[in-house]
Amino acid sequence: MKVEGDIKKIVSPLLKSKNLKITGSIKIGDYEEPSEEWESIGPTPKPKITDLRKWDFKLLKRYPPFYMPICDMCCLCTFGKCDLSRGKKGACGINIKAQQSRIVLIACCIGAACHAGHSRHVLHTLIERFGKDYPIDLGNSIDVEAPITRTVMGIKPKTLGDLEKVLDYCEEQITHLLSATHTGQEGSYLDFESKALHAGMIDDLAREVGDIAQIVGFNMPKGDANAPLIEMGLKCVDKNKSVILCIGHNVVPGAEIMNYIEDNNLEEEIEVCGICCTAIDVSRYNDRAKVIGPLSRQLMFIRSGVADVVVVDEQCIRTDVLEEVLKTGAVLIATNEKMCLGLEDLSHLSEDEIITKILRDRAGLILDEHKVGKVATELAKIISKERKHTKDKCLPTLEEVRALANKCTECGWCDRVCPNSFEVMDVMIGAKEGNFDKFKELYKKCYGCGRCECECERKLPIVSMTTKVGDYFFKDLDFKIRAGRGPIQDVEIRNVGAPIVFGDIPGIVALVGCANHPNGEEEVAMIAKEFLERKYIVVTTGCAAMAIGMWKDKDGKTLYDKYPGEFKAGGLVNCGSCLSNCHITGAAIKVANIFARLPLRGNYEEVADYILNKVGAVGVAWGAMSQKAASIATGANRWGVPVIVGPHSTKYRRMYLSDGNDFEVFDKSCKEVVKIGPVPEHLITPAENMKECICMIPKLCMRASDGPKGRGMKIYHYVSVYEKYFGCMPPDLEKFVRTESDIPFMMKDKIKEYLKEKNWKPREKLPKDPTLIY
Amino acid sequence: MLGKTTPYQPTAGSNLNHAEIVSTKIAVSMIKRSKHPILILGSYGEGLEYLEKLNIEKIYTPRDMNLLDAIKKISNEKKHDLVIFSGITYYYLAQAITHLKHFSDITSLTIDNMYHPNAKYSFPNMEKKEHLEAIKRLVMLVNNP
Repeated sequence: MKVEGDIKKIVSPLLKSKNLKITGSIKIGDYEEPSEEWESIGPTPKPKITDLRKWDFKLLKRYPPFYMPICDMCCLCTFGKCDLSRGKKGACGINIKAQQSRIVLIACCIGAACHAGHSRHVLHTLIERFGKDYPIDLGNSIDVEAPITRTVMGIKPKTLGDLEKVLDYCEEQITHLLSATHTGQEGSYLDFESKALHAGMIDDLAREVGDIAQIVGFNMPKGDANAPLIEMGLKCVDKNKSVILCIGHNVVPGAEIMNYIEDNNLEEEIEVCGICCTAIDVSRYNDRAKVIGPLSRQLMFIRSGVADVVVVDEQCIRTDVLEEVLKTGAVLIATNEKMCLGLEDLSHLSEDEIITKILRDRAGLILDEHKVGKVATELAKIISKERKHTKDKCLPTLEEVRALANKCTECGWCDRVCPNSFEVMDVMIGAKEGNFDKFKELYKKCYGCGRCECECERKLPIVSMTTKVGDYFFKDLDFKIRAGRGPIQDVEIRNVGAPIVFGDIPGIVALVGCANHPNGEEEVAMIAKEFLERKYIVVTTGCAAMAIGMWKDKDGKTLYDKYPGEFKAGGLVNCGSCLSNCHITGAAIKVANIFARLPLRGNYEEVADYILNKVGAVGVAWGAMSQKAASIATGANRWGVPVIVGPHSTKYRRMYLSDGNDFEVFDKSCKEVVKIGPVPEHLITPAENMKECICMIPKLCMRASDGPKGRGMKIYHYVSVYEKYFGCMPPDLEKFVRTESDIPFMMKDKIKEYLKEKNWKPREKLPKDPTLIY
Repeated sequence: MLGKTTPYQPTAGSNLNHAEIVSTKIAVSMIKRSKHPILILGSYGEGLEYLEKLNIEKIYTPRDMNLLDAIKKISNEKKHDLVIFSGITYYYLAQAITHLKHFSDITSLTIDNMYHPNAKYSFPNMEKKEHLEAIKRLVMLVNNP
């Protein structure tokens, strides 16, 4: 802690002085003053829960929470269950709004804790391996190495040890936030929301720690736009080899497996593939690893029986994975304390002893990652021989699928329990006659949750049947994904900073999140394609990054084959896993810092205000499913980045919606409050289908600072997508045309005619330097 | 299909308060008695072409307006006393409509072939043919007093 001050006058019996200046520093605990004064410190380094409350309340005033209670009751304490419907209060005094926001906060805390726990594990492993002084060096192209950490913590992390301090802060904040959800604590829904925004910010910070640690510790790509293309898809695995499948998010066990294979020259014998973010991160570590696909394909792939050894780490893994793996004759290794699956801890045994034990018990828990490499690899060699003649028999044959379908009683409950209400019964009726057309359609859209199977009165293995149909009819399920490149380079930000802020690049579209898609993966690729063709910058991570790769054009090319990996107009930038989402908000922060020269250090509010008003970025989490996705989206919202979610995400219970009328901003150049159109209109909003989502994107990329040329281009895309997908002009276009200079030349006549019908009047004043801070 | 009054997706209910089932006749009478009814019409289902002919104010979602924006607008304006929904993705509407249930006095009525527990009034689960007939009848009776 540094103390500085001027004292005008001291009068004491011992000392009389005028204009005395005292400077000194006080050291508290192990906190060390950064040796380098790289920036003056802003008002909120290491913000406590309430330090950014004022900013949150500004956001919440413009975008009030819109609640959709999923339950009429609160069941969190034994006062209840309490009925909170229609204005009633619970026994503790809580009302339905506060209860919804409380649940949202709990979800965000779960998400933030998950990323903090993940990052702590990775960092702990790397510090054990390399020591606390191991340097953070992201190469010559990246000076602003940790924009979130710089802004929130007020430090420039130089070593892995510095990252530990960041996680200490995160864990402290998560504890306080979670404690606020206890019975009889917070009572205001707005304060719960402010805390949820804080949890989202902590989540962002924790992800940055984890991704930076793994980039430097595992030597992953450091902002490399030409990161290699990785093989992806259910058909990219060589079934003739022994196959290890890694599922989850934590790279550590997968990296150990790759090391063991390389050290022992087993590349020709062993195939390593992955599902969900583990797949992405292992392929960032070693481009020989293959990616099966997003989490939605895990039950299908396990049931296919291709894997001999399944290694699970943490997050988004099916909790019945053990039962499913054992049915195929494969073995399972759990490797993380967060998912022990009731298995015996074998970590204390030698590797050979563990192998013997797992061969007998078919599964085990190994918490010492050094042993996982050898155990998984050697087991794969043994098990693949053991399963040589049974591997292909895990799925029913096509004839058996037809015979099973014939058992269907056509009760229709499969349709009703399907989360997407797919018409599964009709699929079965077709299959009875040997017609698999609808089955093929189902395979493309279904994310294999298995709820239909649980409901089926004949216990038909519908997921296995669907997997077989896919396996039989689709021979081209081999795709490409660009390996996660990590952060955006400073020079790339310098090149696009001005065009983004003035609107000449129409926007940054971030396709992120899980695989709870309402109509399969292809829609994510279609959204990406639409905006790549329109020269937006498309960034992506996690399951969405995989979904983008799971579509091919007529020539068999994926979007990763067709578009460059640079952060520029028309670039398709895969940052990596869901930890890597930090680089997307990081890029927006870097625009503020590198282009606008805004200091980051402890300066959260000013940076977020800049992003909200000047950086035309929008997040799209089309299949958001998890609590992590909730905290990621809420974190983006606090930075001022709006987010569009898929229709299932209404089950998160809360959106931030403006009323669509004019907003007020303060113009720093004219020093007055100015009315502007509603840009960006919402902070988080759902779309019912892909068409609506595509039409929302150009609108949510509009910002108060757009120049006439930039706004014109954004309006051009807004009108153009609306006409393409709905066959008409956008019904709210008049809100976004400020003056005639905003009207794109190519559409001048029809827009003018439309505006005339709407009685549109040009705005008299436009803010030159808009801000919410006044 | 079994369970006419079980939510079409059985988990869609919100625990305590579930919609009352209405027949076509009652739905018609509700619309006729309403001073300012509004129909929010989605893009799915087979009765849409008939419902387009219904002589009441309409919002086509998502083309005219996002569903949540429409619900928010109707809820804030307090101009309408009856809001009718049809043709919207089942689970999406089931969740969105809980906003009206908790934060508005406006009566909500859903007329899809799937029972919507979170509305105030809903058609029961019906076979598609039966539902189409119900819609045709509803449109005829409302438009021809």
